[in-house]
Amino acid sequence: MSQLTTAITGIRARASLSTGRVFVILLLFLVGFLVLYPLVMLFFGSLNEGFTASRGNLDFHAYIKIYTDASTYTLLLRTLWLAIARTAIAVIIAAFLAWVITRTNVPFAGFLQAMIMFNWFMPMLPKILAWIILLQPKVGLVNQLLRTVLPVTGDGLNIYSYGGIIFVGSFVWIPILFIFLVPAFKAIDASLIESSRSSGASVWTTMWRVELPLLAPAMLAATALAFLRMVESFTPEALLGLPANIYVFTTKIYHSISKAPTDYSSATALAVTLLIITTATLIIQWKLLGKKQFTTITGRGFRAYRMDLGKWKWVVFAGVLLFIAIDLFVPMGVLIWGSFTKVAGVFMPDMYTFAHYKRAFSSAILMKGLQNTIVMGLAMASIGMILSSLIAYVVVKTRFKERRALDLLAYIPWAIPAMIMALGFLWAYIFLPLPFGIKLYGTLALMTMALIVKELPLGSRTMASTMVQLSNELEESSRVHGATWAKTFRSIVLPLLGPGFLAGWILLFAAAVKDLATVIVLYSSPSTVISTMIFGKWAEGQFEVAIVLGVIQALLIALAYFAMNLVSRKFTSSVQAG
Amino acid sequence: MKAKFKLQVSAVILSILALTVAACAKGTPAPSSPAATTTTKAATSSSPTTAPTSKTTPATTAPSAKPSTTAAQTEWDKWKASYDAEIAKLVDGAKKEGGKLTVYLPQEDQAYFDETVKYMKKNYGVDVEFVALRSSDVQAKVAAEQTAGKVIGDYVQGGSSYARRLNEKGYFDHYLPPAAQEPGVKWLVDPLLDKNEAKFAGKGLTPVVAMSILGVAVNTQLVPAEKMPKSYKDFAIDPFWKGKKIVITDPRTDGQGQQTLYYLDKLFGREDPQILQKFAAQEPVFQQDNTIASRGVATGLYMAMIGSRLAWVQPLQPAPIKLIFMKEGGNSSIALGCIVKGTTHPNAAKLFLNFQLSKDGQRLYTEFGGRTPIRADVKPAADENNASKWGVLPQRSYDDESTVLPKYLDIAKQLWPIK
Repeated sequence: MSQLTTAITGIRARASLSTGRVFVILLLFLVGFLVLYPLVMLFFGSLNEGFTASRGNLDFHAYIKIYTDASTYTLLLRTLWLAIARTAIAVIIAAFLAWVITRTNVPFAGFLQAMIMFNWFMPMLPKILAWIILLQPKVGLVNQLLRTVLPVTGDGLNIYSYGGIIFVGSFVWIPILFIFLVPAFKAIDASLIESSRSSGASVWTTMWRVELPLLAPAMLAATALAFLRMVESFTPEALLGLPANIYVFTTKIYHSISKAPTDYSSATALAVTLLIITTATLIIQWKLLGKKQFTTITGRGFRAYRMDLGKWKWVVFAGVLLFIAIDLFVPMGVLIWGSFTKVAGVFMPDMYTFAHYKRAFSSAILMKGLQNTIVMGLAMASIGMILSSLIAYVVVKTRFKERRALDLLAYIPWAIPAMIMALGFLWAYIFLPLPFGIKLYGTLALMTMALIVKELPLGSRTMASTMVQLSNELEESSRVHGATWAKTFRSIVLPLLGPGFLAGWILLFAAAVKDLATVIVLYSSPSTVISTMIFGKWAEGQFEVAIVLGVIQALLIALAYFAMNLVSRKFTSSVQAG
Repeated sequence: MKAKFKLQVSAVILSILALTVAACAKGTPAPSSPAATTTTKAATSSSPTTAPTSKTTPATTAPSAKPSTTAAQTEWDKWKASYDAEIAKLVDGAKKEGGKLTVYLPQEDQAYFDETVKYMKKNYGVDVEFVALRSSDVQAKVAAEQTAGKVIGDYVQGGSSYARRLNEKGYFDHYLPPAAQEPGVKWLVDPLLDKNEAKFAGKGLTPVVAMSILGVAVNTQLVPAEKMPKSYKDFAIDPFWKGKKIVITDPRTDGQGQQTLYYLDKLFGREDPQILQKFAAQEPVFQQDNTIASRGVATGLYMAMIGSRLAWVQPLQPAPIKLIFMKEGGNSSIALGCIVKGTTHPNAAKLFLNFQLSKDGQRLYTEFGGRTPIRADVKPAADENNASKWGVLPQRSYDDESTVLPKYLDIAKQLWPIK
């Protein structure tokens, strides 16, 4: 009898395994196509002047020129040290914030968390301009203020410097890293902390010896993610670096694509370096993690734990509030105040006006842009998170050989600067032969699809950082009781991953709503979105109207965030009730 | 197991390569030679006696007022009849095509877009959709659409530097708009500037449809009246301007910064071969973005921005910033109107090109788009847009733009090495 049971279990396991394997292979094909096809087209485009050269004329001269030029390596080194410095700052602050809000009894934790998240919703371009208004040399508002109380001479604080790039470049990424780390911090079981404390370890020893090691995968993933975003970063460097003659790798790429005729070959040849850096980063991450286990959510039940900060809780609260003030209230305040003035940052008599709001709201395409943005955001976040969850599940929770390839594929869209990847999408989908007269190019559907691919690293990393702490015993138990792989995923895995899924959903929604680099290449007039409208106003020199649109964009994301919070609460209570 | 894995990964890569090859095979044929010869002939030889038949072409769309002398009157009447016939034919054709037009162009004021959309619908029954893009995106989209044979953008209004290069590639059609041939009209820039350009033989015709004149934005509080610059040379030789007071866009890439070097050298290089070195010694600051550079002047961070236009200065009023012009004239930035080869809306595109060159088209541009009219019979909406008053620096030929101008990128890299 026992032999029979063993045999049946074995057959079930093999059947299930083969179904799973087929699924993984199909997923690999799908993700491989979505990611590699634009990349391959990008590569072909780089060899024939962006598909403008004569047929069959493939040329590698740009690659040779770029990699025999000493300045390429100088810029690369500068880019790398800037990325390392900003990554360190951003990850340390984000981890501290996540710890304070999830693992301590700091007052008003919910409010602080919402404010940090809201920060991520603001579009980057107006935010950088707010910092310029505040911290430009001599005439920046902070310098003007300092001069009234201190004997400041010369330029004073100068945002056009390495310091400025590091400050703005790291601070703009802290909110997303925070959002990324919160689920991992929340997932640590109180029993582990209590065991440590009851064994005589101090609060700090417990934090260093128990909590931090448990958070290693999420921290490592956050570090890798931050590092790659910093290497690929362009806007802060372009706006703040150039006046100080600070050049980085992406500035050089921008120069190649902004001239006439566009030098696609050099731009893509340069982007290949970033692809190599990404691959190397990922391999290092794999090696560091090795085969260690980091599960914290097990079948034994779970309790959250919050450390009592005692009298320090108000000091910590003030510290977090200071960060929020610097990173959100001050720049946001400058922007909102600026939107009611004739010229933001310039004091003059009779300076207040509603003209910019009237102008923004009288735009005939505002409603259309809003509608398109919402549809695109909802579709992108929902489909993107489903795909990301499947990828993360295979990468983290299975031992299929294909998982490494899938992990790498899901990272690649961030390995290439957004401005170059957008060309890959353009070339990929304009040349894609489609049946039945289906037209994708210029549609909202294509923009959504491109954004899903572009943000795969964000979605899949968010889910992976949550899944990595989920014990296999829960699934094994389900499987032992005869549930299929699909049933296990739906009934056991998904409910436990709900909060992480919803956090990822809002991240993707925000990324879709804020994106400009990809949508501007793929949009057409009927598929206008808010970010292309902001770009338009900015290009017209109507910065204040762009701010108003930026505020509308941020409110839209905030609205989605609050809606998602409601869903999350209902979801959690229904799971608990179940 | 390992072999199986390799096999699967290889299969994915092979599938993608196969799809790529299929896509390229469909798309790579070079665009055929211009097929617009017959269209051009038909367009230019339309019988002037054919009366306009379309009710959607009201008299208000007449390109200009009638001239006064009898001979001129006769010539104009003849042209007008021909023009009306052509427009009527195009309106009819546009209707059959579906009455739509997609225009790729750089960002313009939304009011200009709105007014133009209304005008084109009311007068020609054409729905115009503007797709505002960065110049690099226009180039990428047009090239990709041409190679793939999927034309979405019917009409491109592009900066001369890249529109001419796209034309050389054979991406545009040849059409001689009758509006450009209106008798008695004085043009501030010849709309048919490139008509005899050898490199465009057998290719498209890209008339000049819009212009902006660029001057110098100065901070009126920081620059005393006696130091107000009069000549571009002042920025290179007057010690007042030394020390991070001048802002330009980065001359090591395309744009106004590069053109500043070009004109400094062209205007003063013979009398002073060291003019560019002297300018570099003044320590100008570079900015990536025109909006931020203009604001830098308005807030007092910089004293002057060379290569600024009214559209960037006007939104900053009443801050202490003003656009002035040097005695050598303003730098004219021209935009070319290009009918895209293979468009499914050729008649609507031709209508739009004629509209842009007409008196109404130029009027809308100056009133709502802040541009400088290229027709002398259209009054500029602002003094800063009066090209007749300020004068314009010599136009750059295609040869200048494609071979001479890029050399200044290398000069700029020598003057300001990228470290």
